[in-house]
Amino acid sequence: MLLVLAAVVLGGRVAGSALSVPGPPVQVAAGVSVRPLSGWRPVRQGPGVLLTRGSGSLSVLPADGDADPATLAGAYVRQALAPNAQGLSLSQGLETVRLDGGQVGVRFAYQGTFRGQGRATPLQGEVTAVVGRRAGVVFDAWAAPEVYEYGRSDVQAMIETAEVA
Amino acid sequence: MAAEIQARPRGRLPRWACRASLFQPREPAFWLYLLLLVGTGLLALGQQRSLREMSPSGWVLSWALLALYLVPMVALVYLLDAYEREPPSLVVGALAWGAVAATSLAGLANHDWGAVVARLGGPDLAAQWTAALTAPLVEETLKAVGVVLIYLIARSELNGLMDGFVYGAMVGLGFAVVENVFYFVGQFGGQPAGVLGGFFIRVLASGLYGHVLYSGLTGMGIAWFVTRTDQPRGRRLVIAAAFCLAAVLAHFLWNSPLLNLFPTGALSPLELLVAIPLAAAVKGIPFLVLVVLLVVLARRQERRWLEAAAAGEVGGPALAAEELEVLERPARRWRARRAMRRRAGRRAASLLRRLQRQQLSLAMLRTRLGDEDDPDLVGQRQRIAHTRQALQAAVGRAGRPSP
Repeated sequence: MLLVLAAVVLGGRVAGSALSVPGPPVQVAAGVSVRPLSGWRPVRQGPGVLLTRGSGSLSVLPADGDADPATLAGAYVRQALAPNAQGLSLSQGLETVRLDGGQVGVRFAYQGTFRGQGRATPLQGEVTAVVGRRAGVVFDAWAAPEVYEYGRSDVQAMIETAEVA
Repeated sequence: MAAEIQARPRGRLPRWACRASLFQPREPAFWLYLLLLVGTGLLALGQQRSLREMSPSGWVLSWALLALYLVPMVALVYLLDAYEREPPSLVVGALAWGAVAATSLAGLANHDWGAVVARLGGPDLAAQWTAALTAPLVEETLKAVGVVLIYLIARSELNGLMDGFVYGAMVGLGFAVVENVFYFVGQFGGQPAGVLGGFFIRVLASGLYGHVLYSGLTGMGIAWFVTRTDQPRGRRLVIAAAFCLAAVLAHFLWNSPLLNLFPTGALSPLELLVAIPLAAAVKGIPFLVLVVLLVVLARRQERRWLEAAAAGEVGGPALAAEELEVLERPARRWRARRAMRRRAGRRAASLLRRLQRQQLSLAMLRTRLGDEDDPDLVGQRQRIAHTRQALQAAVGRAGRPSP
């Protein structure tokens, strides 16, 4: 019976870890690379890379390595999110995150209706801004609100294993 | 004797009239149960605390509304067992397992298995199917573990399908109540209007179809396996697995997008009042009918056991044939007491109730005592004789004209 309990309660974690082996790194910019999990397709987009799986997306944008992560996150809201969104709402405060490589960043969540491809779409997302010694990067992950939660663990795993020099 | 043989149903009679409690310090299962309950209790308390912080008024309202659901459901499930009701400590133990251990462990496991579905199928497939692919297996297994632990703690109390249903349904009821608090506060917004909406959707419109039925059925499967020892082990395993699989499939159907007629667009309150119960009924009623049918069959099986157990006493001073006919059906017992109260007053009705209980206990004692002259049987017959005398005296006094 204990085996059954352990299999049910811990089996998902073990299976999840076994399935989340990152693929080969995709170079985003000098000193910035990301390792897509299986099922995520990388497409080069402007200066960065867009990773997609179904309607889930993770945009990886290189940024100025001189700014601190909070400043980088604020600039991203002003320049990328706010101009394209209606009814944008942001989570309270910034959460601190740490990548596997030791770099520290900040994270916040957002929700709003975004214009794109000729229509307005309600989206939920999460922005993570990380600065290394030489480079900075903004990760913006989003999906429809009912789908977002299901891509989140993949997104966070890819961010955690990203390299930011 | 011939009548006894004729009345004896196939298989062994259950060993009724054993009153075990949850507290069995000599059983390793008791300590495992306690350890898991205390460990998960800390998680559960933490979750309730954060729900209360999210919305204090919504949290209180949720519990108040769910108490209105819990109390009658506990009474209904408990009273379904017509002859030997389960010990209250074990019933509470089953309820606590569902409310505390099963919900807390399911919260952890569902999240991790959900991530597995998302990794394998992608976020879009996961958004549609995670609830159907993970919760039925995870939650039904965790609830079933509770029934198995209750059985291992007090083996003598799981005597038949009906007992399995009662313990399983109690585990499911505890689970449903705590899960609903989470939904009312966490998913329906936690404000009074959201909580009331959640109560309408999850309890009033669909409260009959969920966890109580699933784990009631699982409990019946476990009871079949442990009590039908006259059957080959393989057959018992297959039948028990079929019960459990039916519960998982019903849960899968409920959580899946299949047959999903729940309204999504903008509808008027009146339309919602009609559309939501109808949509819930489409998914829930076939399974409800199946479980009701199985419960009726289980009660019929218990009635046959009672007839067989009481056969040796029928015609003797402790039990008349017509009294057995009344004993066999709870509704007849209740009608007889009501008639007695009208005829001879409250005291006589109370004595009749005592007499019926003592006669049921006598039949149950016979299932585990082989010797006709066993002191326990003799003592029970004497108790019945005393109660009968007191009842006759009460009826006589009531029939005498006032001076």
